Amino acid sequence: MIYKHALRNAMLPTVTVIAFNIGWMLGGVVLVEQVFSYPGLGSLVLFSIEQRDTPLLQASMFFVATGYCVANLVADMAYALLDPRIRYS
Amino acid sequence: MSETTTANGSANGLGAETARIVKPPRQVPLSLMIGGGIVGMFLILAAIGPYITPYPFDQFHFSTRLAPPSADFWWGTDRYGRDIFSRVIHGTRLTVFMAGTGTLIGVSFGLLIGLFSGYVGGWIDEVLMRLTDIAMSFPGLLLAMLVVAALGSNEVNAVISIGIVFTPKVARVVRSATLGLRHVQFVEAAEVRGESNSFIIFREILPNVWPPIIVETCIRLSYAVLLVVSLSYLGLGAQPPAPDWGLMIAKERAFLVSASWVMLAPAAAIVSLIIGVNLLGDGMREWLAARKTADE
Repeated sequence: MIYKHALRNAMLPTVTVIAFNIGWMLGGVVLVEQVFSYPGLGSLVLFSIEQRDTPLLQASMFFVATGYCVANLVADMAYALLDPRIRYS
Repeated sequence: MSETTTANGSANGLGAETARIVKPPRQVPLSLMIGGGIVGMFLILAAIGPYITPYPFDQFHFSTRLAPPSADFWWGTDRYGRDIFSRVIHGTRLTVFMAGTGTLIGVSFGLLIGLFSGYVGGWIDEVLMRLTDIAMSFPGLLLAMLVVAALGSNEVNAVISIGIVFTPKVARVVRSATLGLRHVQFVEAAEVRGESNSFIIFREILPNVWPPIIVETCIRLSYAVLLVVSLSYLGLGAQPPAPDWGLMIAKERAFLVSASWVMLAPAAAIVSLIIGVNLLGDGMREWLAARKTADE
């Protein structure tokens, strides 16, 4: 019974923090990829900054911003799922 | 709970109106004292540090490169023979100055935008909030990297980018606090009196919103230090031979296993500064909340 009632209410701020942290992680992935030399989106951002490749920088930033917005959207929808009082008209 | 004692001991009954309410003594929270102590120590180091270091930060000692900590070099030397202790102390001034200035810029502009937007309302408020939404849709470090990429990689541009990153977040906090005070009686009294808008904003609303602003500034300071170090680590902030901590870590990464003291010293400095600022922010929040409940 605890899982059914307490968990649903306790998850609400947790979901908010998860969405916020996903944004912070997308920023930190640049550092992590630099440290461990993984080829990834963060390294692409760094590479485009060093090479002054503006279209590549724009595209990768667009990707990152889209990912962050999608994460926030999922968090909002999770809110609606978890709390039956919140429904979008 | 509160005892009244007359302030002037008058006998004509007016003493009750001049009575002072004895408040319980306000405890300064432990986190505030510890955090304030750590931050104060770093501030002192930033102020007088470069004058008390044993060596200049860019003086090479090629005969003693990568030396472990010893009596000559308290924290060892890096790959060019520069004293790590002196570099960390010099870097304190650089990091504290960059993070502090960036936070100050961000908080000032965020304050202005938030106060103006929260007070005026209407379509100006909507437009400003959509603009801050756009700015907040990027993660902090990436937005800072974008600004530095546009302006060029040096310390001044790093400070500007930190200010730009923090302005929308502070503006949102200030705007929400202003909205809470928008329809309070003394503000409406000032409007009825015919005070100008700027008077109301700066003399009526601002003195009442500064507690959350203080707390937000402390939190932003810790993120600012992290941003400064991250930007310098990526090569986008301070440039060599500046003794910035992030730059030191980036340059000496090859020696992580063989000469670990080279990276441990700036890393420990970064960690302790951020912990100190975080404790300061927590303590400020507790102290201001306790002060608020004691005043009511």
